[in-house]
Amino acid sequence: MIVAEQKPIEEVLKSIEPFDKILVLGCNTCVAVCMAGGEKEAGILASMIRLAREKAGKLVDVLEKTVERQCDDEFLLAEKELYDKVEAVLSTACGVGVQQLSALLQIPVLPALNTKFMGGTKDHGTWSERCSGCGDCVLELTGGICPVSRCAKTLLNGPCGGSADGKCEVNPDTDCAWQLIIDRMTALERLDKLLEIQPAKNWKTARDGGPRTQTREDVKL
Amino acid sequence: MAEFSPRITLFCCESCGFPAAERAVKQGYSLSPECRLIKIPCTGKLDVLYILKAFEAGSDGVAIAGCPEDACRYETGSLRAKNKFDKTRAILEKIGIEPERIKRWQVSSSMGEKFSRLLSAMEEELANLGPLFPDRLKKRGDN
Ligand code: SF4
Ligand code: SF4
Repeated sequence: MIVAEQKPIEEVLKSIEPFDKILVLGCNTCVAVCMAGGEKEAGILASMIRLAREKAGKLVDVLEKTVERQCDDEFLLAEKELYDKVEAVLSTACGVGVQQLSALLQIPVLPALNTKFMGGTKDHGTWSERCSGCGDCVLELTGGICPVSRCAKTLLNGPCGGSADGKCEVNPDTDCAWQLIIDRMTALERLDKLLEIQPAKNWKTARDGGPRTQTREDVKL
Repeated sequence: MAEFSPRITLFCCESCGFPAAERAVKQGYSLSPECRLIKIPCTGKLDVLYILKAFEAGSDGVAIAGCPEDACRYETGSLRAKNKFDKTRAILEKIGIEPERIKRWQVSSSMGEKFSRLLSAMEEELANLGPLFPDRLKKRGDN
């Protein structure tokens, strides 16, 4: 999922300051799972805004709605009549959802979240980065542990000299990804695979090649 | 001007908080008409949203009355309530509302006297703080 967290409320209040009627629009997919922007979190944020603005003596009319996904026009367009009633939309989707909606509207669409990474649930209330979307997956070579997103130096032939006691030198709270890779490949009896030196990765398939678009011609009409 | 009587929403768990309130009344405590008791199965079910909604709906204060932490019928309910309480207090502070407007009490079902003592102290504290939204005061009595 895409993992995000709510912006500090001070920042949110500042961004909606000029408006007297807004829509807080939640997204019930990734950001609901990471408890940042689903129906409940959008409701809490709307409530916080109403209370803060009333306390400050500047009442605001806050509408609330949560859609299944903000990264698909079909869900966004179904709420068309709501956008006509407000001066701005405060989106609790990831940055993708904010941009998707912004492209459809003539009013400001403001982000309520900071979008952080693609990750998985580690335990209840904790999410960890797992993939950077490099476009050319190497998990087969690394025992299912991603060195692109989980090694601080994105090494493909690790570990570096700073790996100590299984921890990363960049952040001692983080496991060294290459220690994990070696442990895992040992357990899988595939350690010999790591003797092959990986050539420099072609980052053209990643963000370095500029913004990416993917098309499936066979589903187009 | 009539003396300000704070409106308080009390979220009470059905195992401890609510029976404690009932006991307080049986012992002669006179519950203010501005106090609203909401019985919930366990304070662990409480959510930040419910507390904020209570303030939005006109409460000057919110109290959460649940079991003592080591005697929660559902084991972790009181601890969950503590997390929600801490989070809500932090939110109130950030949006300019006095965090003292929310309280968390640990009372067993037999603690009627403690319940009435805590509620009286809260009413006094809120009376000193004044209404959450003074502009709304004049509309009171309409609902
Ligand atoms: S190698 Fe690339 S695609 Fe595979 S998990 Fe890592 S970042 Fe994602
Ligand atoms: S210590 Fe491990 S995870 Fe950290 S930079 Fe070095 S190889 Fe990567």
